[in-house]
Amino acid sequence: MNRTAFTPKSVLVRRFAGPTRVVLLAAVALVLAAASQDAAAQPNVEMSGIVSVRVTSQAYDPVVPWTKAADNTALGNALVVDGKRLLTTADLIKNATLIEVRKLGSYPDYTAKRVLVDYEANLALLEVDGADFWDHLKPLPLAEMGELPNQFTISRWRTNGRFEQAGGEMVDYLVAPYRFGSMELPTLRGTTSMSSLGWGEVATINQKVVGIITSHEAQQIEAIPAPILRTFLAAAARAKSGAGTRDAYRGFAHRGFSWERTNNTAQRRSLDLPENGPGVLIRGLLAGGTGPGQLQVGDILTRIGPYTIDPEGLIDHPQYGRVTFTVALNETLDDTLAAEVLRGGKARHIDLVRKRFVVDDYRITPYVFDRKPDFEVQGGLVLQELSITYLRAWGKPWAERAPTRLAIEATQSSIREQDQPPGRVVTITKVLPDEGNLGYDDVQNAIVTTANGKPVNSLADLREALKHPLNGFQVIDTMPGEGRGRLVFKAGDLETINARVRDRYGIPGPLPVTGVAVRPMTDGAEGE
Amino acid sequence: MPEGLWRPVDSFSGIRTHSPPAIPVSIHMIRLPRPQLWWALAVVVALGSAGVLWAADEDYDGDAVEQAVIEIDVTSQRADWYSPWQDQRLFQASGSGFLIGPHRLMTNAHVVSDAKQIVVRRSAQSQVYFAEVEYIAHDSDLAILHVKDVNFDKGITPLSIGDLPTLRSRVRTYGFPAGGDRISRTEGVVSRIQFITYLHSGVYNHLAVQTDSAINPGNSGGPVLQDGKVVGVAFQTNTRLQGVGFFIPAPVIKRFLTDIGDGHYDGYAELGVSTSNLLNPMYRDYLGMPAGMQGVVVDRVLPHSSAEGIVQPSDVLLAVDQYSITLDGNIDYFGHNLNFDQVAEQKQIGEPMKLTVWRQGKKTDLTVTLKGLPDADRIRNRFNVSPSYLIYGGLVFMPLDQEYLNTFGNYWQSADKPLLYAQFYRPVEEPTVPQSSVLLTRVLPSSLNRGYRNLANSLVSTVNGQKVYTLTDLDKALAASKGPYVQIILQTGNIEVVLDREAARKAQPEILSAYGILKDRRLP
Repeated sequence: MNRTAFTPKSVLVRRFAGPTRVVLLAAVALVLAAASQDAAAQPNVEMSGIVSVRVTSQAYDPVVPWTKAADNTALGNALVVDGKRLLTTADLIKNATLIEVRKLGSYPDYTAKRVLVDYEANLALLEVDGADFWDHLKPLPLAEMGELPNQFTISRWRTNGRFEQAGGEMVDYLVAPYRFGSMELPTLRGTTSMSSLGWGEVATINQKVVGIITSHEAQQIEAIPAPILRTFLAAAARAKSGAGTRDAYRGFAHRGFSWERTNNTAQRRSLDLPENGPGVLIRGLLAGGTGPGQLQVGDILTRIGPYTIDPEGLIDHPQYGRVTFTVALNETLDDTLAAEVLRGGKARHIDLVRKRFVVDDYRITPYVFDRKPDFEVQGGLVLQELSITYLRAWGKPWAERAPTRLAIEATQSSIREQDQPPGRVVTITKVLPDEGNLGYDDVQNAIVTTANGKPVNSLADLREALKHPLNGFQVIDTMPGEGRGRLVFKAGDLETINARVRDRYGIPGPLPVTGVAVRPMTDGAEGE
Repeated sequence: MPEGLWRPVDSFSGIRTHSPPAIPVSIHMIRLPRPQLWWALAVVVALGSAGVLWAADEDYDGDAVEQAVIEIDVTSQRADWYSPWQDQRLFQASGSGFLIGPHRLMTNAHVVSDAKQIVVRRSAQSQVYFAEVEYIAHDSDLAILHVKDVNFDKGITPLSIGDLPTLRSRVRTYGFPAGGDRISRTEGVVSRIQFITYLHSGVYNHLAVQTDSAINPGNSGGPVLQDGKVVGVAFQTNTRLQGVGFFIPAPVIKRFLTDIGDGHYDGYAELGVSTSNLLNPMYRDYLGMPAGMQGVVVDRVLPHSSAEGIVQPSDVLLAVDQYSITLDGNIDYFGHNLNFDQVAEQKQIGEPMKLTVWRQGKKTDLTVTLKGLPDADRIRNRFNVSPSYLIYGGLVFMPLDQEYLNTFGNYWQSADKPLLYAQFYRPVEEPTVPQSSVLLTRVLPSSLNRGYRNLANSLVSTVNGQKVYTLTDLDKALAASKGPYVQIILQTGNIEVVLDREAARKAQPEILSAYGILKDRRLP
């Protein structure tokens, strides 16, 4: 994915501050006038419907989570939407320390703040300080995704104040998890000759938004399509008006089950399915989402809403074309969707309530943004609950570069199955050398199984277990096969070791050294 | 990025059973495909000249030594673990060897593994002789060849085996690097003696000697001499180190020769425990060890190993035979500070080994009868064997083993994660739970298996509801099928595969014919 680096201060800003600003505004007016003249022939409203976004971000270091990594600045774009808000990708504004927006490519910059972020949907809503910011801006309407031409226009503001547009061509829609989390949503895939995309640039057809671009690689782009933008905005609006609390936003639904195609003749016959009939086989249920409590393992799901599911799991969707049926389950939350299943050989009608994932449905935290990771430092061991954010720190592709046992855990067991109790994977992410942990340097990235004989399925478990030393010793056991199996500290000496480690490595906080979750992930979405 | 991308692997009494293998790019076998010969030769000439400039003591007959060093040309063919019904392309390589007895040569196992034809030649002579493998030890990368023609070694005195050289002593390396027909001799010093992984098998750790005497492709199997005696056999380099080679030292060679004394090679004995250092005084206090007591703590005991039922987790190994073990697991072995594994290394399977352990606050003497490495074929590279497989309805089933993982290329991390878990971690984390090793490796497309063609690399859980653990179990379960359908449940994704039993039977010849397969199975 190519992404545009943004210089900390653009040439435009430096050169045209102060009195020159008047001249600049006049110039902008001329540009707008010119654009307006152009519009007479080919109206271009994208310029006033898109703004540039400069994000300064700083993440916590996933390895030593009490410190922040180097700050980073990136330039993206946001879409002006109703309600005097901006819509952009969550990816762009993650870990933001400052969000600045600029309209019409010219000074001044305005400070924006996050209103709502849904990392799993990769969308974020911003509000801007400064009433005059909205002057000359007009929301771009979202396209009705009916029968659309294959060509679209990509628009963006660049760092130098230049507005760029280029053509793109639609390829198809793919239903798959977005960048963060496991929720499967449709992605618009297309091609373009434009370079360095993936930061909230806007794709339009006939000046209506068809998608916000999230990634770009070798002329291939991916975008969040308009129906998802519309659903997100509607949910956000409901949250804003309903009950007067932003916490009411609960995002999108999750299918909550695993399924299998039924496109083999013998398999279909063994399931008593007609040769050319519809249906996929439900093979497993997850802890959360729509599946548990509503579907059963062994069900043949033949119809979902108005769509007949073919044996390969595809439906003919009026907006997305031929796509995986789960798109119908995931898009909207809470409402009821009529479904038909074959259960025990009999056809049944089920009103499926579309439900979402909650944080406890994950065993591996899918992302840790905008907050300090929770951690514990004991005896120089840095202990954390495993997250995909930590694994990503090993570089691309993290599934191959991260420690193998951790990558296995994250790729195979990141989501809790129906009968699996809640829990996290606690790992020793670092050993801070100290005389207290002499000989223990081979346990980095080991998974903790027990502490003082008690199972450890979360940092909370660990903290509780450490309150009960065994005969004056703190005993931590790790998963076999990854370095030593046991680490032992004298309970009476641990406080001294912790103080020394804290002092030597500059770890803030009183003893016991414990990180505090500033804002834990709540149901996948975060409001401020 | 987190530091320590690669870290020390699990030490398991001389073997590396439960951690992924070393990254092969860092160290490579000295095995030279013919097309690279001239490039490699240029490198060797330079290194060889540098060696000659360094004068070494000449208190033995150098000519006699050089006559005993033999060039070995091998045509080999490996089995194909991706298409197990056929072999890979022919491969030609050259190595070195030396006369160790009448008509007998010693060389590396990796020089002659999977050999179809072995041709040997004395230095600067055009006459070639045919040889065959008499003994081969893949775990210690050694082999004995027998040359049928009795004229081959006329006038040559076999070389005798010396002892473990001392650190910083000088050694000479002989061989035919780059496949040249003239013997090459280089000289260097012994710079390190340590346990390393012998890459031929990929799992066994043995004693090895590091030297700066040039060891290059083609040197493999050649003798390393000191005072006219063989103190080692050249076998490995480390591409991350410059001007460094490794040789198999005399103790390993002598153990091999002792092992084959009864006419059969049995292999290495392993204690079968995983230990951790006790450098941390708090851990020693936790174990109640008196001040000054040294040893290592047992983390795990490998099932079916020598130690099973005798050694217990949390035992502290204080001594092995007469050797006291230090806090970091070493012993004083004739003046060398070596891992305590060295004691078992020198013994044969079936021999007793005494252990002194600290258990529950008191010293206890134990005796184990040494066994070989359990489950060895699953975890090591294999040679001179053809893989097992079974094809049913176009579905190719094989046992999951290291050789199958090798088909993913040099980077084992690219293999499917469930396979890595099943191969490296599950046997350690759930050692007493029976686990399937039957792998659906791929699907040969036919109309019968339409819908299943993207299935690959998934372990089989059940067949018709019956659990299967081995390829033989799978064969029996398929043969016992009575109903119209065969149901196969795969572990990955809990996928259900259903085939029409009668249709599968009828389609089998057609599928085999279409993919050029003579037999639908090779069972273990």
